[in-house]
Amino acid sequence: MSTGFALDGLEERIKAHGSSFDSLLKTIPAQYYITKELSEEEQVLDRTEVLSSNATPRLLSIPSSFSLQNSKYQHNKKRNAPKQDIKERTKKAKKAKLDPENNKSVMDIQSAMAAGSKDSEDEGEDDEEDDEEDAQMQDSDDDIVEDDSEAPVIAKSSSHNFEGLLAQVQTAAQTPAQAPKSITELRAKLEERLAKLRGRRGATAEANASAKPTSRQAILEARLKRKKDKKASQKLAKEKRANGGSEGLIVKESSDSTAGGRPSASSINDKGEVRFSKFEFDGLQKKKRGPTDAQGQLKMVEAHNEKLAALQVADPEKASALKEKDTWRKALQLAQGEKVKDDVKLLKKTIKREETFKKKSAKEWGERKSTVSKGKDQKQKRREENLKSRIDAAKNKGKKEKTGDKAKGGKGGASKGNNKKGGKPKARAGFEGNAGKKSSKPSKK
Amino acid sequence: MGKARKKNRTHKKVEEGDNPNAVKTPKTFVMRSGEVGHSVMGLVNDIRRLMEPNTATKLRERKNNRLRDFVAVAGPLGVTHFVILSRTEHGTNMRISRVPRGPTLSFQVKTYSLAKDIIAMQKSPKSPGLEFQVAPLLVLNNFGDSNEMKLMSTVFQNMFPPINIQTMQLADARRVVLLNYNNETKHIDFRHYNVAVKPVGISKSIKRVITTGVPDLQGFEDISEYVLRGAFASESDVEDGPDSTVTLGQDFVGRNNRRQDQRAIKLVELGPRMELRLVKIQAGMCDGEVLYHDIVKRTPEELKVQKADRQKKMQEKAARRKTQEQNVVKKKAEQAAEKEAHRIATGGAPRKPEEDDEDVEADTKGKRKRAAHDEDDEEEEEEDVPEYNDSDDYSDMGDMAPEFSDDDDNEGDFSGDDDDQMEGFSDDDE
Repeated sequence: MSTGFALDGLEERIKAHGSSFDSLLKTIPAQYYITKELSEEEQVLDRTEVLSSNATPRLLSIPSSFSLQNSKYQHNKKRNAPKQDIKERTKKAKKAKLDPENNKSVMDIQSAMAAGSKDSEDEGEDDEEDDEEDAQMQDSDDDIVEDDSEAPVIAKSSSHNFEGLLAQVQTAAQTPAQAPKSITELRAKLEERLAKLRGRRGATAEANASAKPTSRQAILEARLKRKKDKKASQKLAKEKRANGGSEGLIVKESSDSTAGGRPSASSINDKGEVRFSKFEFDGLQKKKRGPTDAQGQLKMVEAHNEKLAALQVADPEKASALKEKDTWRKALQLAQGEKVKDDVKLLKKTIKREETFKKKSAKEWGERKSTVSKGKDQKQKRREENLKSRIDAAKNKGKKEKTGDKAKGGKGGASKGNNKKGGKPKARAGFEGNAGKKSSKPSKK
Repeated sequence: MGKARKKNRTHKKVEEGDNPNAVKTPKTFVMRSGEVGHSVMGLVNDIRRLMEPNTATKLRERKNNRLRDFVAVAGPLGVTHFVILSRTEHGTNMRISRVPRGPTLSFQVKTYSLAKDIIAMQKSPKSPGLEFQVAPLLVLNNFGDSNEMKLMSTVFQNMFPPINIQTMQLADARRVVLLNYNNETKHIDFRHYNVAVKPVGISKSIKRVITTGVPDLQGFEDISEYVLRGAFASESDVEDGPDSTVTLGQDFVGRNNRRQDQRAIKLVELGPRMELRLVKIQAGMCDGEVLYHDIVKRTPEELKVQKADRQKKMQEKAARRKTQEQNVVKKKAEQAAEKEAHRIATGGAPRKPEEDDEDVEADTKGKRKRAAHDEDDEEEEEEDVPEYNDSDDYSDMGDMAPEFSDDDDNEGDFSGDDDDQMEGFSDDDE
């Protein structure tokens, strides 16, 4: 029942069939269709799986593409690639994504495969063992090794591009030859990077060091330098002043000059250029020099006066200069609000006043003390007397009962004696009538 | 029976800010001495406004007020400086002195302009806002290093409250007082400005929109026309070079002045303008040894003679006062005796002797108390109220007596004599 299979239109018919099939194939993404070329790798994988303890027989039956993709997505399977590799691979993958060559249809890939399959097969078989590790490394990555072999540029396998997978395989096949090379390269790059970083770090360290001297030597040097600068500037100022004084006729233009440097914190600027309001600081205030009590100050003032008097005798000019300096200094202090205590008479008055106050308070304290002690003594004495009288009364009572002595006894006895004599005892409210003691019965005592 | 009373306030609370060593804000009294007239009175008022808030803006001076009265009041109020203006036929004088016994600087006011005239000169004067609620800053330029310069700058610096760098806010810098010393003429220029900031680097139109808000769109159809017009740079814009541009360290007064903005500082003149010349520095308050005199130079011998004269005068004065007091006491006693005699003569009962004793005792006690208090005052040398006292009695001080000098018999004289008697304080000034 064959339809006419004529030989003459056979080619066209085959072509037509072929093209229809091709058109169908074109609709399939290359990634999912072409798997034959992975057979090597797949075999390798399978072998490893078998060899490993976790191998299960079912792995062998898994279609190649499936297992490959699985392993592709099993990321950390004995992964030893350095980070540098990965980074560069990602970079290359990104670039390759945009390459038009990578997005080939099934037809193109098949044609290309047909052309180059032989070569890759030859190479691949030699390096199967070495392929193992690299394959694991490679295919579990999404990244690509940096070397470019004759294989087309490798794209990220996450893209729907079979070409990437193919390329991966090929490069995997080729990596053993370059693996050591790439590792050394990577190491070299690492060294480079580290050196650069170290270099930069060194620079910053230097900059920091210059700002803040840390070592003792550096601090001392900085201090010396500061002193020198200060001295030099002072000298300059002096010279300027001296020169200005000598050239009195020449008009100075300093009236328009403004301060070049920062104004100092003290209210009186050394340079005398621009001064500002008085500054105050929260922290420590100026510490007062010299004695603060009246006695000490009096001593100081008197000593000063003596010195002045002595100087007056010896060198009157100096004395007058000193006096003038003193008056100016005092005026300055008063202007700043400080209290100046240099009046001998008033200081003496203060001392006298303090002394009288002390005496008075001492006297008062003594009085208070004495009153307290006196009161205490009195109370004590009275207490003792009371006790004594009580005891005596008890004694006397006993004695009186026995001997009937009227005259004996202390206070209590005396009263009892009175009783006997006929005097009435002290009347106590609520105790009318005879007390029990008056009973005729002999007391137990 | 309740619980025993528990004492709660056993110690005086010390507040955080109360540091006994802290510098107190200096306060000022600005007044006139004698009849001065309208203009100088205006100057007095301007200076009062300038020194706000640490001054008595509405100080009332009466006719019979003397310097002594002000000194008496200054102590409890914490006033530290006096600024006294007076007028003579030679011109106007200003005296700045530190109150209790501080030095006095006497200036001649060569020329002055009142605040109202200065504001009248401005194109668009601004009404005063809150800038008079903060004390002004002070800038002294070209005050040299000699003794009198140092003293002058110290006095000026201590008239205004100190700046605390840690706690000061940028918004507290609203006004500034400039004092510039001119070496050739030896005059001190006194200026008072208000500090304002302007945005920098933007066109005039945008600046106007930002700062004042609503521009005048009279001749324009659209705001774009206004913004894009090529307005000429004003004089003040030209002045805003890189010199006057600053970066604000904190938020400043005004609507758009935020931290880290670039602004140009603009000074608007506010207050009186003066040209001063230092004439005399005295060690005491309006009296005392003359430390420096610009015009008169006395030789040491002359000074000695003066000093001796002065002392003699004082001693005589003291002696006179003493005798006067004795006379007064004697007279009182006589009067009392007369009264008593009259009483008895008219048949009344003689006054009980105890009463007399009590009175006498009370009197003497009072006197003693007051005397003790005087001692306190003089010894503490504080700004205490020196009540009835013998402050002018220097007879027992001898060498330590203060020295007065009279050297005002030259040009530029200013009531050097009778300094403690300020005549003519009047409420109403013509």
